[in-house]
Amino acid sequence: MAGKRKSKALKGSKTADSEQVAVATARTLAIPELLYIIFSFSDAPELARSARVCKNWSDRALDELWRDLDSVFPLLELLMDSELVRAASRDSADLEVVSSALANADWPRFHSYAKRVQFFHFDNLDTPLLEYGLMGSICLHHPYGPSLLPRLRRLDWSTGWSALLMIPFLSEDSTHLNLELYSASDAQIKETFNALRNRTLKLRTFRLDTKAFGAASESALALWLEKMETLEILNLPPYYLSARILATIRTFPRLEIIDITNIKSCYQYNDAGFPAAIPDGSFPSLVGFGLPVTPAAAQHLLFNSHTNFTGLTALRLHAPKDIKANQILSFTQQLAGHCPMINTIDLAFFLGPDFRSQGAAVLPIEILESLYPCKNINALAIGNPLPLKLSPVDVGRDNMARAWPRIRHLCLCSEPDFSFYVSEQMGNSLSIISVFASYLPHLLTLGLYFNGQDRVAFKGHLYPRYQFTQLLTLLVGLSPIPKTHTCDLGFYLASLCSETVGVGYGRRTWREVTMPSDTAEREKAWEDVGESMAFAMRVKLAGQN
Amino acid sequence: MSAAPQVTLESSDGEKFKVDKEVAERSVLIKNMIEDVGESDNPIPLPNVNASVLKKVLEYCEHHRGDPLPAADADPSNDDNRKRATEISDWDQKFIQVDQEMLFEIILAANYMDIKPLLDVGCKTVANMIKGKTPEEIRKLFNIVNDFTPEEEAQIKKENEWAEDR
Repeated sequence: MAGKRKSKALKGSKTADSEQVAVATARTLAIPELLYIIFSFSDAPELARSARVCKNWSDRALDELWRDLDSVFPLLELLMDSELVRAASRDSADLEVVSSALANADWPRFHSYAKRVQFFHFDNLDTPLLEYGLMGSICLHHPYGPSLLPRLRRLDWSTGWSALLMIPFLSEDSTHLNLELYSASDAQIKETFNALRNRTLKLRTFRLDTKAFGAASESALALWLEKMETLEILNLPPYYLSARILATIRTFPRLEIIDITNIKSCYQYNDAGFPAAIPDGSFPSLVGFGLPVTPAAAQHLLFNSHTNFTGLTALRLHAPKDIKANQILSFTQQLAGHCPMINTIDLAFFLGPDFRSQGAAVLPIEILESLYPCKNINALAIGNPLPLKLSPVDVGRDNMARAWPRIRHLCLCSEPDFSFYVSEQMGNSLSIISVFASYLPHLLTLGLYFNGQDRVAFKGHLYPRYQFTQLLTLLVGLSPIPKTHTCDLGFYLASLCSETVGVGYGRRTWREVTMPSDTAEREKAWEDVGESMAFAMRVKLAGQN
Repeated sequence: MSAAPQVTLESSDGEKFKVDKEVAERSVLIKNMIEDVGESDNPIPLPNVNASVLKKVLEYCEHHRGDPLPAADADPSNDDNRKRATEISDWDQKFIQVDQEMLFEIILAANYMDIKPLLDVGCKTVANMIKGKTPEEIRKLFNIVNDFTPEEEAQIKKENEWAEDR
């Protein structure tokens, strides 16, 4: 490193203090690595000013400033004066004028900035109306090959403009592409992927979020995907996970994660279009799979071959449609046998009316028991607020505690759904929390639906024999609790915890969710619990010190 | 006093410091040296760090002896969240309140001895010193000669004006 070499020469020099300042300063600021670290802590205005200090600083500061762009203005203003850029952004510029400005632009200067850009986030804010005429002229005059940003690694495109306009920004080395095309049509998506074909051959992550779907776009997407063998992470709207696309991606050697559930534009799903079976030897590297399908469809897809999907460590199934509890059981039983390495399971279903109507049976505990063979479980979530009622024996040393030594997150109420009547008595007893504290003290997250008529008495001491060592979050699925009981409950929770725990209600991501009429009242009651817990915790910690 | 294993460090001006091995090993350089050479009673020479700076650096290591070690350098292609927190903890803030000579000596020593958290504290402090200053003020502060022509400087200003009022 430069610092080492120079410091030898300076060793032992005895100079006056003022010169020493200059020496240490100059030495530090001459080492590029150190300048980079300093600038990594600077904001945009500081970087812009630092770029004018001297030539040595300029290069490093501009690298940092331009690495991550979220507007196209700075680039356009390198090519034409800002008046013209503004006119172009209002679509009121004469294309002839734009064209002659571009012909006379300082392209080497443009290139010196463009090659610093590695991340580009496009959205509708603060960016001009890019349109074909303007982009076409720029590409026509650009003397440095097809890519305007030759070192671009990641492109986020979330605009109402045609996605075709993004293509000149991509580089050969781009590895991450995130397209949010909410207003695009089937035909436009088809055009986009036709234009993208044989580009981005080093892509590692790809995400497409759109509501458009049709045979044309599916076919263009499938053709484009054929060459994307380097993909590691793939996020698509569920309707694009067709038999054809699955057949295309199933041989990708590095594909680790397919997640079809983190797409904003879609919560509707049906299982139609799923392939009958996937040949053996598919998805060799897949460890994470997220699917918005019913357990029956997932079972079909995942377990039909004895070799596929056996290395899965994380699985998420979301099915916003009515299903039956015995389907879940049948699925979990097979999952345990087929995927022995699994450590993260997230299942969220809407149960059918027969399971949610008044007086319906609670969900069978066998669903949890069927997963006991999965020794690596770290996180397990099952929702909606299943009235899955646990007894102390279920939690105790012969069951959960022994089956899952590594469990840190357990949530049995992950998606509060009150579309159907949930009886107050269906939930868990509050005292089950202390059983968890004694048998699973290492939990970080605990989520349960509680019986609205249950009470716990705070016995007056904050130091019981058992307590959680690191519990951070208690999810309650908006369980009802009486207003008069919040203080007792807060003290009870404080006695079981080693630090103040956040109370949450679950994810609430489904659009169909109907909240109960007394939602605000329930939230307020749990806030009161949180406050009294925080108070009790201060008392407890003060007592410990 | 304690049974903890100790090592001796020797500064460039020959002063010897006996410290707990755990404290000295906050420096990756020293940790690697101990691993390579094995434990011995010979002092470990640090020819690039003088006694006053080494004393200061060891004060930092002593205070942070129990901290978790920072992870090895992550894959640079994953540094999407490159903007890093600029807060400095209260103790570190007080620790780094030194004259400019010492600040840069500490940065150089942290760089040489490979103590990433200390290097970050030093560089954050420099970044904070730059905050709100004009280029001319920065040059004055650090004794930097302006090697730009007025035209060059004006051009850079114009091209990066968008960033100034963010």
